[in-house]
Amino acid sequence: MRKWFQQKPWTFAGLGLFCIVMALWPWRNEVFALSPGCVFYRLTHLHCPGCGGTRCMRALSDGRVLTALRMNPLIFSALAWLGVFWLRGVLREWAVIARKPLVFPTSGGWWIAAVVLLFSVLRNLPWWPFCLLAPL
Amino acid sequence: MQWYYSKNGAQNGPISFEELKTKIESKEVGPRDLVWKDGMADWVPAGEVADLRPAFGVPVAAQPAPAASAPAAEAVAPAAAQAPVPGYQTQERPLQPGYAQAPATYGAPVAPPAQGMAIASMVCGIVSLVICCAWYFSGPIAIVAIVMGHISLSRIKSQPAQYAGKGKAKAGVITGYIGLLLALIVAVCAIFAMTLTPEKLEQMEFLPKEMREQIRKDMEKKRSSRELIPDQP
Repeated sequence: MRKWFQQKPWTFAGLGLFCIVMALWPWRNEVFALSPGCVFYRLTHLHCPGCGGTRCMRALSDGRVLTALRMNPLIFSALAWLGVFWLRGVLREWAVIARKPLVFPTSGGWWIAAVVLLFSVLRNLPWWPFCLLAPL
Repeated sequence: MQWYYSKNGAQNGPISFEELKTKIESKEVGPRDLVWKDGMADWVPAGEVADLRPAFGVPVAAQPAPAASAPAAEAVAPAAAQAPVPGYQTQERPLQPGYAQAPATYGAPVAPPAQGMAIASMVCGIVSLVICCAWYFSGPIAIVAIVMGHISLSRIKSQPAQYAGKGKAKAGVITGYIGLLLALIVAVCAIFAMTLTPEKLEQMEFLPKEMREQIRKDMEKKRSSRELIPDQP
């Protein structure tokens, strides 16, 4: 098992996550109801970068993709990226593709932090193109 | 054979083996910079590739013998290859015999350097950054990201053959620290707000009253228009 995990970590991790999600699937509404209301939002009326994340997940679990995108575009696109990288990893493990692996840039962390912080500022602006980013 | 090399996260290439050797000899590519060629499972530090070891060994061999002729340098090179760089005492690697002994068999089932902890650190860091408003979740997750990021950074430094993912570990540390900072700010605000009475809290709101009324009205309007879509609040 350990050896198999070392050889095909992406496949193994994906299968594990799939099993967990499937095990919780019948109780998904109860699981979502566990998440507490946001104290930060109640006090400040500001949207933090994760605001709408639970609604995004819930919409995805119901198959309403557009609502999910509307609730939190950042989490939605992060999940999409994760899916792409996972699929790439699985295909490489099974030698379906043998393309040059990607190198994560050393400045990547700063880029991620900048995108998240910029997103959280933009979605709190009250004007037209930016208010689309707010989960309302 | 086409080689690629990576410096500071940027990918360069393809170049020939001879060109890569020239770059190593001119110190443009160091032993810790990553290289890759077709058939390799993942990028590996250049100092770990057996074919490239002599290129790193040459400058070391030239130092003790100023008048070293070419055959002499050849003779010293294998000895220098034993420790091309101080701190590279990973000659006997039971996990990855393929890298050290037979670079021709790169397509063989050789385990690529592990980067699971670096990826986990990055994921935890991003999650802590995104859910910073829920400080009681994001604070602990940020600490996990920072700890795992530092552990994997030190492992990558001491055992470059077994561990990789420096950029990801760094990203985990960076986003973890920013997430922890945001969580602390939110926590201080939230705890401070808990000590206030509702009337005082009303006075503390930083927007003027008319503006808040306007925003509330807009939100109600948007909310009522959204009610048409079967959605949860």
